[in-house]
Amino acid sequence: MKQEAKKKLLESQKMAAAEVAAIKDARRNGLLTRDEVRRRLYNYVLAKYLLNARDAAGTEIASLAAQSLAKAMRIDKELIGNADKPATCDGASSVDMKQALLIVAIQKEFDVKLDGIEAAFADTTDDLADLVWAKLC
Amino acid sequence: MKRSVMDVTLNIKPIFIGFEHLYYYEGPCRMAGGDAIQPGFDEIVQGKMYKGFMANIEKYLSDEKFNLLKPSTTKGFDDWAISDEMFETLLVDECNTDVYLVFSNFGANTILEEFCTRTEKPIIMNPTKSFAALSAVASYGVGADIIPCFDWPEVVHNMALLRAQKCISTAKLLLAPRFGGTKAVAGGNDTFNNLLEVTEKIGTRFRYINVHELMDQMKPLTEDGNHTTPGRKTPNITEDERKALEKMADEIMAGAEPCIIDKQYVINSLIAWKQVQKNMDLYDCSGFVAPCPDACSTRRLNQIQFTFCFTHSLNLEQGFASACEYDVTAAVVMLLLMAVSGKSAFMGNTLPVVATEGRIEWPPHIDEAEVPDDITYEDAKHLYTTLHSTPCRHLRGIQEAADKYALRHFAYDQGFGAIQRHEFNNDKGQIITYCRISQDLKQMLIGTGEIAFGVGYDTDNCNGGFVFKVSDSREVFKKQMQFGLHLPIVYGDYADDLVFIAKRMGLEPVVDKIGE
Repeated sequence: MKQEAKKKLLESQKMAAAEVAAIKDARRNGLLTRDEVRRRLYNYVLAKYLLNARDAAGTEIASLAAQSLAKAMRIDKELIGNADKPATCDGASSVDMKQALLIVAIQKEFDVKLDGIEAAFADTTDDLADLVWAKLC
Repeated sequence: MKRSVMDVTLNIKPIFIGFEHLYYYEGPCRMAGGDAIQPGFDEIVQGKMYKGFMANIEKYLSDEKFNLLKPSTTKGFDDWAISDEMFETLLVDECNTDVYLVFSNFGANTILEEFCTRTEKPIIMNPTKSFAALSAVASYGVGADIIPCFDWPEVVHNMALLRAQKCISTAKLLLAPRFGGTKAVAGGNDTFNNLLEVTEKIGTRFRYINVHELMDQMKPLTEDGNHTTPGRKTPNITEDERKALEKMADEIMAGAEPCIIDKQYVINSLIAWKQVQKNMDLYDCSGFVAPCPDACSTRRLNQIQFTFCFTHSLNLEQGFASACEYDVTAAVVMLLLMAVSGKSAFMGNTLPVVATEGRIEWPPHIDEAEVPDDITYEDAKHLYTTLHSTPCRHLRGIQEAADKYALRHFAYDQGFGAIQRHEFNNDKGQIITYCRISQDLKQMLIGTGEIAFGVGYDTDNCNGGFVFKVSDSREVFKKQMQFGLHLPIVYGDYADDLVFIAKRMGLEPVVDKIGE
């Protein structure tokens, strides 16, 4: 069971890395488009959140984060709010933290510096992709 | 411009105070590890918090009664540096702000504390699962006006009460004295002792028009001007306005069930109302106070053939205070009741039913033929009465559909003085709240009751009203003796809300609730 989880984690990391590499390649070759960034960043987020496109609930980041947490905790996504205790003294939830960690990872892996507040206000993966696109184009 | 209680909006200024760590380090104030304690991470999490804060504001405070000002944000760091610029940013709208709604993050306490003490405006903290609300306690301890709210519905409720307080603290009332400006010679002598103190303590200001000048304005202006203001241009009634009022009289008379007054007398009363409205408009007022007995004794009401009763009814149904007998206190309280409830207020001579020595003594003007047969001696120990000719069509809500009404006349012999009647028998069981502020501005009487039955619907003069149940009429009477004859009333139980506002205004609440 542990082996299987580890394998899945590694696969996801590879998939995420592949999306990053694809974006960087396209940018190097002058072929990068906004739609391409949106599509690949969506795949990247799914990989990071250990979700597959078939099960993913839309592009809303908070929803995907909750779905990912629910999957990890093996509970219903709708129950995440009940199970989730504030993860900081300010009352930030695990869903908030998961999104923040995602933004940190994007900044690191795509070599971009996003405005933290602006990134935090992104509702969907497309919104987030547009912020990345603005830095890359 | 005149201002009804419905026109007042509360200016809410959202404030977000963030906090970020500048370096990676671990220790007793760091609650995570890895990327979550790297520089930059806090900013993103704070962004999420700010987003959630604004989403709640949008969700709970999107109401036409609330005006959301542009949010201001600042943030502190773990070097604890504080600059004036932070407060200049946060207080940029200080003049226009009625209340601050603050989200302050853990770690930004010193900024919050100084912010709270740099403003005298009330502060409501974001209530959601956070230490931040309690971090305002330090500021409360040094005099900041912090209003505790347990959850968002309570934030909304308290915002509504602050709006109600604003309605009276920024209101101007038009007073029409014949003699002195503070009290009439006859009538509501239990009104405030000192109007300057009212302004100082409650905020309400006063504008004046001499009642003779007001009555002079009820006929078109001539080249010579009015008798009391010769040569001066005054806002007298115009022919066009009079024509419009004739049409209004037709409509009001057609809707009355029954209408027992001649059209000319309705028009006379409407002219008085129109002139009051125009003067309220000129002086930016939210209400009017008429000197009934002082004006009556000039004999000019008899000469012009009108009374101010209908002025009160029409003002009140639009959310303007309007009080009889130069009872300034009643006007202030009516404004407050309407602001809290969104319903028109009613004021009347309020007296207990006296059950004593085995008999029931009904107050004057109560026709005992209207008293239900099943009222017992024991029942009477819990009954009070209120009577006047100031009911209006919107006792259930200023924006609700108008109630049925009758039109009658005040003057028994000559038939002038339009008065409105409300059938309070249709409202049996209705909970009411009554209220009055003491003359010396130290206490506020706040009570609740329940309408038992209506009286006076089919009578002329000043006799319309109802009998209502109270906790104990003897006890209520003893409390009332410290306040006054007129106890303005509004439908619904707003006792707790009034206690909240009384305390905010520095008035000691004197409470008497039915059923407690």
